[in-house]
Formats: sequence, C-alpha cells, structure tokens
Amino acid sequence: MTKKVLIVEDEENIGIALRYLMKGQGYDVRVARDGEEALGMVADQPPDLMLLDVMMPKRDGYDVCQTVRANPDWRAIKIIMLSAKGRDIEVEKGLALGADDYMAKPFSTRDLAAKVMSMLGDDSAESS
Amino acid sequence: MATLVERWSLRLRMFLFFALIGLGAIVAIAVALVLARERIGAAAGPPLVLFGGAAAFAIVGLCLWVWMKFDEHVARPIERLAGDLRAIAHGGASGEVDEKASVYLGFLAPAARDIARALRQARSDVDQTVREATREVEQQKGRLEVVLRDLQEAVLICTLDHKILLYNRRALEILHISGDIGLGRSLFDVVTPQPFRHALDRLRVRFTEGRHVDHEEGLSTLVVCKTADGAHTLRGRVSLLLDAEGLLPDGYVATFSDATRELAEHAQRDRLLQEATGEMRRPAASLLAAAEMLEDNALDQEGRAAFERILVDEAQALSARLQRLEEQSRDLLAGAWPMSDVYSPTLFHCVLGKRRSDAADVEIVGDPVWMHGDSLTIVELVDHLIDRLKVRGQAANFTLQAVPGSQRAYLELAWKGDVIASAELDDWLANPLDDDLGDITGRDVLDRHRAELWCEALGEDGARLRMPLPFGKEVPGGRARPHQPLPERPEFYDFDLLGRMDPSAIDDTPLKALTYVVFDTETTGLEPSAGDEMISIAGIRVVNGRVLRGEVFDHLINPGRGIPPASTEVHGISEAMVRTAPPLSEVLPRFRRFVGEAVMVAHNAAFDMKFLTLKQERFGLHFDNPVLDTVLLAAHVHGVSESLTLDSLAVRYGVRLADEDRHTALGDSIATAEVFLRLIDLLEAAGIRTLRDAVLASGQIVAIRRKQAKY
Repeated sequence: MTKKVLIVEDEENIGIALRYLMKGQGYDVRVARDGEEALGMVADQPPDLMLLDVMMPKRDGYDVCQTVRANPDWRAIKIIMLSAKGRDIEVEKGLALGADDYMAKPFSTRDLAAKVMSMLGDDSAESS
Repeated sequence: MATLVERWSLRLRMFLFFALIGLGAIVAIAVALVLARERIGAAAGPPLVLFGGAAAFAIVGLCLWVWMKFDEHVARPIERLAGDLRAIAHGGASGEVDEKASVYLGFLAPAARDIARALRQARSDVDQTVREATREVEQQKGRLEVVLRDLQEAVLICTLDHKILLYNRRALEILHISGDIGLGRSLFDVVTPQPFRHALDRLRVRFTEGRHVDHEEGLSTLVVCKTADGAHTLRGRVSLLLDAEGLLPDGYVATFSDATRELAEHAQRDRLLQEATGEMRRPAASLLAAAEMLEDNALDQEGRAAFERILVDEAQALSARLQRLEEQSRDLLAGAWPMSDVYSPTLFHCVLGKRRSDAADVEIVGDPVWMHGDSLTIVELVDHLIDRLKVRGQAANFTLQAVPGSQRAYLELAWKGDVIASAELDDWLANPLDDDLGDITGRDVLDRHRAELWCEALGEDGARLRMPLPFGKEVPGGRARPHQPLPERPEFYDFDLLGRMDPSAIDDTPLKALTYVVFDTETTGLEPSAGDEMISIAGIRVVNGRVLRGEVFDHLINPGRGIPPASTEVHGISEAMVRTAPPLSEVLPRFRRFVGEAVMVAHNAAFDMKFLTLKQERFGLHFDNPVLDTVLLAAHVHGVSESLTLDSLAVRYGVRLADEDRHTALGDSIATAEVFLRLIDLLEAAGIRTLRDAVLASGQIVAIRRKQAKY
C-alpha cells in the first residue's frame, strides 16, 4: 500500500519542490497551506508522515505537532519538522513537542528524501 | 634681679617679706636701745639688753606666727588654686577647684570654681560637636569606601605623574593580571601610557583655554587602552582633578571596564556582516545568471546540463555558507541585551518575594545552578506564567527548579495538571508582563535571551514549562577568576601621597614616608652557595607608614631538587606542594617587578639577599635597591645583648600572628612589616629619622657585631 505523506508548508516554491520530490519517491502526497488545514486533513485521512513547516499562519508547526501527538490515534504518524530557525533550542523544542526529526532550511532534497525513506521503510515506496 | 625674684615661689616671697619685717623691727629696737644707753649711761646696759631682747623675741615670734597663718590660709591656698586652675586648663575637663582649702581667699575660690565649670562645659560642648562631626565624616567615609570597593567599574585616582593614590577592588581584579598595582606605584606599570598621556594633554589644553566650562564633557574624556601585557583592552573615562582652589590640575581619576570581550565581539560581528553581504554576492550572481540563462536562451542539451549543474553547486555552496554564518553568529546574537550571571536560588526567591501572599503555593526544589540572563525580566516572566496558570485553574501548587543539561540549564515550572497547548502559550507570551516594565511581552523576554519556552507532559498527570538558558560562568565551588583575598577594610587609598617628596632625595626622606617591600623567603636549607634553593618567596608593601595587606606577593617555587624533610618541618612546604609551582626563572622576574624602586626590608636580610643576589645574574636581574635589616635596626634600639628573633620582637611590640601563618613566607613578611613600623617610631625617638641615618646605624651595629665575633 502506498504510504501517505502530508506536506504542511506555506511557502509556495518549497511546497512545489517537496511535492515533486515526494511524488517522485512514489508516495501519496497531499499539501496543506497552514496549520488548520493540515489538522483538517489529518482528521480526514491520517498520513504516515508529515513534513511540517514551523513558521505558518493560523496555527504554527509546534502547535500542530503537539495537537497530533495529543491524539492517541495519531501516535504512529511520523513528523519531520522543517524550519528556517535552525538553532539548537528550536530543534530541541520541536523534538520535545513530539517531532521525530528536524531539518533546518536550507536543506538538501536528497538528504530529506533519504530521511523520509528510512522512516517509512524501503519497501513502502512504489512507483506511481 | 627682678626676674630672679619673680621666679621665686609665692610662699618663699611671703616668707622673705615677713622675715624682712621681723629683721627691720629687731634692727629698729637695737638702734633705739643703743641710743637709750648712751643717754642714760652704761649702767642701764644690762636691763636694756634684757628688755630689748624680750621685745625682739616677741616681735620675731609674732612675725613667725602671722607668717605661718598667712602661709597656711593665703599663700598655700593661692598656690593650690593656681595648680588646680593650671590642671584644669591643661589637663582636661575633669579637675575641680578645692574650695575648702581656699576659704580665707574670699570670693576668689568661688570665682575660680565658676570659671572652671564654664570652661568644662565649653570643652564638653566642643568635644561633643567634634565627636559628632567626626562620626559623621567617618560614616560618610565608610560608605564611600564600600561604594568604591564594590563598584563594578574600576576606579583609579592618580597624581599628574601617574602615581596611584586610590584604586578599588575591581581595578585590582582587572589589573593585577597584567602587573603589580599598588599605592604610590606608577599606573604605567599596568597599562599602556600613550592613551592616558594623550587624554591628559587634551584635557590640560581644554582647561588652560577655559573651554571646559562650556564643553559637554567638562574636564573628562574617553580613553581606550591596553593592559601592559597587551592581553586586555580597557575602555573608560579620564577626568582631570583640580586642587582645592580649583586653579590648577593636581591629579586625575580614571574609571574603566574590561572591554576585551565586547570589542572582540564587535569586531567579529562586523566581520560576519561583511562576509554575509560580500561573500554571498558571488553565489547569488552565479545563481541569477544561470537561472536567467535557463529561462531565456534556447540551450542545447549540453548547455542546459551545465547551467543546471551551476544552479545546484551554487545553491549548495550558499546553503553551506549560511549554515556556517549561523554557527559563527550564535554566541554573538544572545549578547545584545545586558545580562549577568545569576544564581538560581536568588532568582527563585525573587519570584517568591514578588508573589508575597501566595508564595507558599510555589516550592523551590533541586540543586542550585548558575545561569546567565536578565534576572528582572526572567522573574517577571515566571511570575506572569504562574498567574496565567492559576487564572486558568490549571493548578494551585507549583515547583520551580533549575536543571543542568549538557549544553545549557533549564528553568522548569511544574504542576499537577494538563499540558498547555503551544498556541495558548503563545497567546500568553504575546501579552505585556508588567506595567512598570513598559510593554515588554513574554516573547520579548524569550527573544532577548534567544530562548524558547514549551510545555511538555511530566509523568502520568503532570506537566512542566521548560525554558533553556545559557550556563553562567560562575560555577558552584569555584569562580572563573579568583578574587584577591582582601582584608575587611583594605588600604585602597592614600591621598598623602599627593605631597610626596622627590624620589631622588630618598636618602634624606623621613623613614615613614618611604615605600618598602618587606619580604621573606623559605628555602631548602641554609647554604645557598652549597646548592640550597628558594621554594617560596613573599613580600608585602609598606607605603606611607601603613602595611598594605591588599598588595602582597606570595609564590611557591619549584626548586628543581628535593626538599629535606627537616626543612619541610620548619616551613611546612613539601615536595608535592611545589611540584606544579613555576620555577625561579618565572617567579624571580615577577618579584623584581613587584619590588620596583622600593626599599627592601627583611629580618636577617643578609640571608635572603644572599639567595637573591646569587640568582639575579642568571636571570639578568639586579636587586640594587637600598636594604634594611630589622635585626640590625632592633639591635640599635635594644642593644645587641637582647633577643632579636622575629618571635621575640613580635611579642615585645604586641604584634600578633596566627600560628598557621608563622614560618610561611607571607606570614613572616607581614610580621616583619608590623615590627618594622614600630621600630621606625623607636628609631625616631633615638634620632634615626632618615634612610641615611638608618643605614648608618645598621653599619655601626654590623661593626660592633664583627668586633664581638672576634672574641
């Protein structure tokens, strides 16, 4: 079964790049533009992994992460936080609130793809 | 003649007065009887002599009796009264006039009594006024001393020839690393002279031209200089001090702080900014060119691939550069707001103090941790968060603790209850903390500290807020830089140095006015020429008749050889203690700098000087200062037959020394210094007033001892 990846990113250009990248890896990809929309999509159909930007309008990435983790049904969702804030303290806060990993922008798409693949398992990706 | 009579006592003069009356009466009777005998005839001689003799005896007896009464009731009481009055006039206010003895003097005694009482009252009033004024001055002086001592800024007052008259603790801390700061020493022993000279030249010109009156900085100006060793940069102000009449400058005050770190950070920030703007232009230009080529031109396959490669390479280079910039700027960005090290118990007790009535709801737990931050705003933020949690009905009781992590310390506020959602926490942080602080919000406090705050679950039914803060430099059980051990009221200033004499006239300078370094050494044995070495050297400065306990030199020395157990027993210094000590090649030049131009003093100086002079050549040093020996000086005062050991002199002069300090180089130096000061007083009484006198007296004693040694 195709693994589902939810991209939560308000920056359009990065959103496009991530979408192509994840699709290219064979995942089922959806994109949300802010925190509220993202939580709506999670409730609608929980993904296997979220690429979650931190700085977003309405509800920020920390808030979304904490909300997802507070729901026992969503414990299995893997979360990788993406942020322009790359200091140790923000990374620590993200991990403390339940993220599985944290990547600081700018990051290499190849590194991100490798990280997603290792989290979801090699056999999960299928060519679309 | 008149003056001789005036010098006689009143009683003698009275006696002579009555004796004269008696003698006159006898002479008159004798003349009368001789004349009567001539008229009556020789036969009347015997009865005339008999009656005349009886009359003369009666008159002499009467004179004697009247004199005795007069002496008892007038002359002696007058002398006693005069004595009483003199005693009252010169001997203080306690004397009384003896009225009973002066009862025959009429109103003189009561009048004298009244005068004495009036005088006593007037004196008592004056004494009281002086006492109060003195107490007030002492109090103000004490307050000023405390302020100066504890000021975080270094303060120095110097004469125009740069001799230090005053320094505070901070100045000592900043400058003692570079050299030896001390009263009467030159400022330029510890800092570079040019910036101070230039600043003073400018201020003098400003003063001479009278421009200081309207100048916005008055008689002060900025100065930036380096410590003599070049390791620290100091930034501060120099202000010219005028004499009491305000007519001429007679010194200057310098206030400064260590700006080394600050200036280095400025320089690093500038460099980063230049790199950020300058070095990013190149990859940005390449990216732009490549992107436009790809968009605008109909490129063949090979060309497209080349420009795509350029895009990837340059973007990767730019990302890597950004990452490096962020790492390099991390420490700088947090330093924008003034912060200091703060001890977690202090911080938490401030929170409790602020909460007053419901302070009992907050419990402080855990071990203390030193953190770095702006304690005022952190206290306000914690207080604000507790308020919010209470209003929300989240919890009634909280615990506060500081937890050391691997990189930073965490300030934790915990309670039994739910976790606070990140969004709600953000709302709390968006509100102003306290009206008195202006509109500073919790988020401002976090940004100021480059910190974050989050809420996480704690166990089954608890939660905690965590706020990471940098560790303070202070660590429990030790400080980054040890404070100088200073006495309660150290001798930090001496304005008498302002009127000090020309140093070239040192030989004729009164002993009290000279600067001394009283020193002592501990050694492996008593024979320097047979290979014994110094293992400890200490000294203390004596300036203007005061032992300056804040200005000491005290170092162990690695002798590069063994220490016989017998000598360890004397001074308590073992081989293990000197193993990590610096060698003489490091310590001796530093001691030479500490001594400077001072007169060197030691107890049995010949022994210590022998060690110094044996080693001085090897290190290119010369201990050519005048030397005084307290043994020789004491011998001049007490004679060579007395016991002149340091212990016996200390006992004789009431100098007390703790047992643990005895036979340490520093302890013995201090004891010798105290003994030396008392010796100066005794020498002065014996007519030894100047250094020349003291050196001569010492020479005489040496000659006497040499002669004694022959027998």
